[in-house]
Amino acid sequence: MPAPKNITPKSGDVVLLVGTMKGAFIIRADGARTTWEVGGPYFPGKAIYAFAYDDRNGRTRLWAAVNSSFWGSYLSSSDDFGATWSEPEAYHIRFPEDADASVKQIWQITLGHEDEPDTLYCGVEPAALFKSTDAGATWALDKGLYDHPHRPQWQPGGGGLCLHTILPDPANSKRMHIAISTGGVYRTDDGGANWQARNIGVRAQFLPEGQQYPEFGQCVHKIVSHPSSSDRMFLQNHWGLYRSDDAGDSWSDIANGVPSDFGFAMEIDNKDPNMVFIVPLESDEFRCTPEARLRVYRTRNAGDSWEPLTNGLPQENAFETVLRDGLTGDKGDPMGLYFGTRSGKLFGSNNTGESWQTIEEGLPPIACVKTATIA
Amino acid sequence: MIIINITGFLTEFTGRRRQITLAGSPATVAEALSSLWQLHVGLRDRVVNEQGKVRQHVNIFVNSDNVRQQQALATPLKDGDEITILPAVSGG
Repeated sequence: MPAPKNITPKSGDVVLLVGTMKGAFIIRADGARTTWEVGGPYFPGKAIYAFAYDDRNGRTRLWAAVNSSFWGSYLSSSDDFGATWSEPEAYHIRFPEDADASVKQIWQITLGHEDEPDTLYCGVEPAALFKSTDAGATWALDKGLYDHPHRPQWQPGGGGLCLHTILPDPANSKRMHIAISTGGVYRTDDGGANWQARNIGVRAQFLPEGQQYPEFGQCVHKIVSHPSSSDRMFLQNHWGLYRSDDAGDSWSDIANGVPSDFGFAMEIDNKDPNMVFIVPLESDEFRCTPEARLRVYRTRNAGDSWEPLTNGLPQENAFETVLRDGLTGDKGDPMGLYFGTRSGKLFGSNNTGESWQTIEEGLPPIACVKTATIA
Repeated sequence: MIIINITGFLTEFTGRRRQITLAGSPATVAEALSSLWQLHVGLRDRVVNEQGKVRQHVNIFVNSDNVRQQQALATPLKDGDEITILPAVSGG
């Protein structure tokens, strides 16, 4: 196995947490975000679909979801930016013995509400939500969602039946949205005891004519919201781009001027709730960038129109795929934007997508990219 | 006495020991594994899932027989049997 190279982030650095099909990488730059130092690989041979940085309550803790096709899926943490990682004897994320399920893969790690600094959430396959209230020491299944009467009718998408997105509402600690492929968007308003499907207006193109707007069962690929305006949400569907102005109660189509409304990745600007980024793919049959051009699309008016961002990105023979957690922003001003492809290329922009640089090539297929800003 | 052979990555959870000898007379593979988990806790979740089922890409042999073609974890044991835990072939 390759010996990992360790990096030592400094105050003010931006760190990219890159999960790949064959291990994890930690990549740092100073606040200018132009020169990058690559650390890793960690967990060589394991797939890392979820990565997170928890700097609350004085921690500097990385969380990685380590998925082995042989040995199962577990959480590992590092308090020294990857120099050492926990290797728990017993896995933390596990269904109760009386459940009819076992964890196939951990898909998401999300920090809880600001006023709950020891709370973490995990989304897993088969679709379920786990919560920790002690900074990840112990975890419990959200029974409200697991016992939902819709659950037996959820169906696996191409990636499996996964709960892949978790959005705690910054303005309301009892409210949270989650997204499931294939189940759709669900919202709780009581801290996870009860969940309601929130998919009105979202098309399920894979269902027969006349049945394409069900209460649930949509293949939602990603949802985002903004801390300053959490009722405004955006949704990248398995065919379809949508906006909600009522916290998901209803959705309207905003695929105005994009080459395809199929795709996975979606990110929102850290200041402007009207600015959203996507990477359209041609179709579900051909999940590559349209016309072999690698273009990030940006809206600055909440989806009324979209513009391609191409400066520094390959515009010929670029048959690329960006997965649902492969696009992310940082906390900088202007926001830095980063994405990784299934061909192992990592791109970055330090000016909200106006221009791009290739940060790294030749990585294993990239499953997720997250950021941390070091205090 | 039952001998359990551990290979590769899993020896990280046995103090690098590649062979574990179980005293006593476990009647089945399940009973032997239950004793093994008590000796080396870290092996359990890597070999079986929360429901106690052997993970899809892990194989357990009794002597030269894969227990999937026998009685799975209910496969009976006799004194002197050797259990071997191996990752399955994945890919081509």
